[in-house]
Amino acid sequence: MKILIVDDFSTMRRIIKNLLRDLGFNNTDEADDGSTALPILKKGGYDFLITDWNMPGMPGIELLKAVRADPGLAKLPVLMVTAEQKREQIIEAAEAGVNGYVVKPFTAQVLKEKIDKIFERVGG
Amino acid sequence: MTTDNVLGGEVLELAKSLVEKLETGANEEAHGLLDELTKVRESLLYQEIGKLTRELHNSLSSFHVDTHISDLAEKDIPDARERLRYVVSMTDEAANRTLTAVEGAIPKCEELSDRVSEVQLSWERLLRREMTADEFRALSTKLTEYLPQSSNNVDEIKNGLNEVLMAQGFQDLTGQIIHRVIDLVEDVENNLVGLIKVAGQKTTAPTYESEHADITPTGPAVPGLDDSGRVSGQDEVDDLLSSLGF
Repeated sequence: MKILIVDDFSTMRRIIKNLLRDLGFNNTDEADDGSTALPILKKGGYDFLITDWNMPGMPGIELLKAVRADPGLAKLPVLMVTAEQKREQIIEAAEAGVNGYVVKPFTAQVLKEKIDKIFERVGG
Repeated sequence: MTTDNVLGGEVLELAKSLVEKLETGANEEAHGLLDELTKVRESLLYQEIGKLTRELHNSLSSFHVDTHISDLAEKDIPDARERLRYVVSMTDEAANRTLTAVEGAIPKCEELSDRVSEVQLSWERLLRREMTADEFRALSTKLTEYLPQSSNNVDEIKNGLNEVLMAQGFQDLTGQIIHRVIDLVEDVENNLVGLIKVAGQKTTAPTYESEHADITPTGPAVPGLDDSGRVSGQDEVDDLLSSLGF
């Protein structure tokens, strides 16, 4: 299971990385915005994408849309972990095809639940 | 200025021929020339008034655009103050969470370390065959008690470390808020520069960004400031998504 973590704050990337390691996911890579994440994803081999929304350069919502528009990546499960919590934004993300939405600040428990739920649904 | 030169030349020409007409006693023509001179003079005056009027108008409309400045003073600055207060309270909370977790974990580490030293001493005696059967029974009882206790301690320390890890999330959230305040400070700076320009010299009015569209990132919600149209936490996000068929 290879996971790409996209957030412009390195502290948040480290937090998510450590939580994922705690959940048994050791194979993670990082990117600091959508425009650096997309070429990494296109190289292939990723099973899961966790992205922030508000990032300089390409924001997470655009990354999500680009992933869904790319035939090779369209089915990649995407979890958004973000401080953006306007209803319109959550609806926008849902319409763009997000698989899960976690608002910051979050707990380790919530992150685990959402990841489990996504894999349950994707697997089943 | 070229218009002044042209007008100056025209006036000079008219004045010269006026003198000539007056000297030759051509009074009718002299009157005509006088009228013409007056007209030239009036048009000069009108042009100046026109220029002043335009400048005044521009300055006034610049001030009008700068109602943004009063918005900054009345709304955005107090808003920024609240945001910065929230940053202070978030960093305070994160520091306290971290300290509490560390203060909880340190005694657990000490207990572990004490037990390990105690067992180690007995274990060395056992290896050296210096231990009596009674002592061995005592060690065995201790180990039966210590092993699960130590395992508990390790779990508690790990929880504490996770708590420290999660508490660092403040850096992302406060960072986003501070970036917004920096943007505001820049906006204020630009406005002040614009104001100075308007007050001193004619200038183009500063332009301002329109209101953000609904899905533009707005960063972390500050309680009491950003409540409208936002969900209040993960439960509401889950409710909203499940209402959308998730």
